[in-house]
Amino acid sequence: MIKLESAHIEEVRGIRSLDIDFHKGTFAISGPNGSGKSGVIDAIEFGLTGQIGRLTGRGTKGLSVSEHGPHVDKTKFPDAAFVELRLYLPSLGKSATITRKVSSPNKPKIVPGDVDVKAVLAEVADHPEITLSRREILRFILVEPTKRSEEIQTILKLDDVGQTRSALNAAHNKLQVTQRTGAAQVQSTRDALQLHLQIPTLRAEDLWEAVNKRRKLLALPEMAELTADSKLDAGLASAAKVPEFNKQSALRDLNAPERVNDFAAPGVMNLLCRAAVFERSLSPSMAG
Amino acid sequence: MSTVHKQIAEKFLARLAEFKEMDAEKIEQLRALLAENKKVKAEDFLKIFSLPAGGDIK
Repeated sequence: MIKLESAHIEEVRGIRSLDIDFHKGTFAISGPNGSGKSGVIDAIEFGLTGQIGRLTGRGTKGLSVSEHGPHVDKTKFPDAAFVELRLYLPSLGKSATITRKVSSPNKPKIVPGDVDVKAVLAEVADHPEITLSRREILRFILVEPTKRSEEIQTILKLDDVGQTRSALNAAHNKLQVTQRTGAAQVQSTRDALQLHLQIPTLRAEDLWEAVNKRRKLLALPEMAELTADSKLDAGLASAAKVPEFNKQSALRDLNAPERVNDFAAPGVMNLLCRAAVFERSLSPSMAG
Repeated sequence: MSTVHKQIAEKFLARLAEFKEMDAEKIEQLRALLAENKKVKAEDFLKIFSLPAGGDIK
């Protein structure tokens, strides 16, 4: 827990220059609409975390601290917009000053720069849920019951959890599809390889033996070892080459059935005649 | 990263570490990614969990 001693706000949101003394106490800010009450909260949040909650989250697309953090007259000079907070850290019994510029929200100047002081302030910066805006409270009240849990996530600045969960689910689904497709492809490739090589398993020894047997037949050098990157048809120059079309050979192949028919016809006729004779020889005995 | 977010991430990584199949290096990459405080996309996880190309000959 930290306590605010004082704040100096300059050119942030609707505030030109403002000094507030909090005396480490609990405080309330009141004033008419548009007087800059929320601007004070934004400035304190910015000073502590480097972020402004009202400029992030749902419905704030296009808004950013760098463009919308400085006073409207200083949007071109974000260096002029800064917050200086004097804090008391009860856990350390120390006071410290943190100064944060809109131009470099992630590089606050911390005095004294003690390691323990910096550690406490770094932890605070990691907790943007320290502020709760009126808009967030109203949204929680008005939201329909089924979406209330989502709203609590938003209020506690846990939107990132939901976002990370969605990303994980999407990655899981994509990986599952890829894994299924890959497994089916691997299985079919393994089956085809086993079938072609006529080997019972895809153990390296079996595969190596079968491949080398065929390579020997093709007068190719034997493979010394088999690795995942080995190319089984290495050295076979025409492995990927499609044979050229030979018209004469194709015409010979087309005529071949006719010649077979001519050759086979007498034999078939002879066979049919003999079958008829055999059938006739059976008929009397069957009749008897 | 909020405390709850951090706790969820730590628990998630601890559960992952219980799986023997999970590579410790991948868990560390995942830890670094989640700690980056940026909006994580599915592609970021895919990069970590996609295996390098290789065969399954044993």
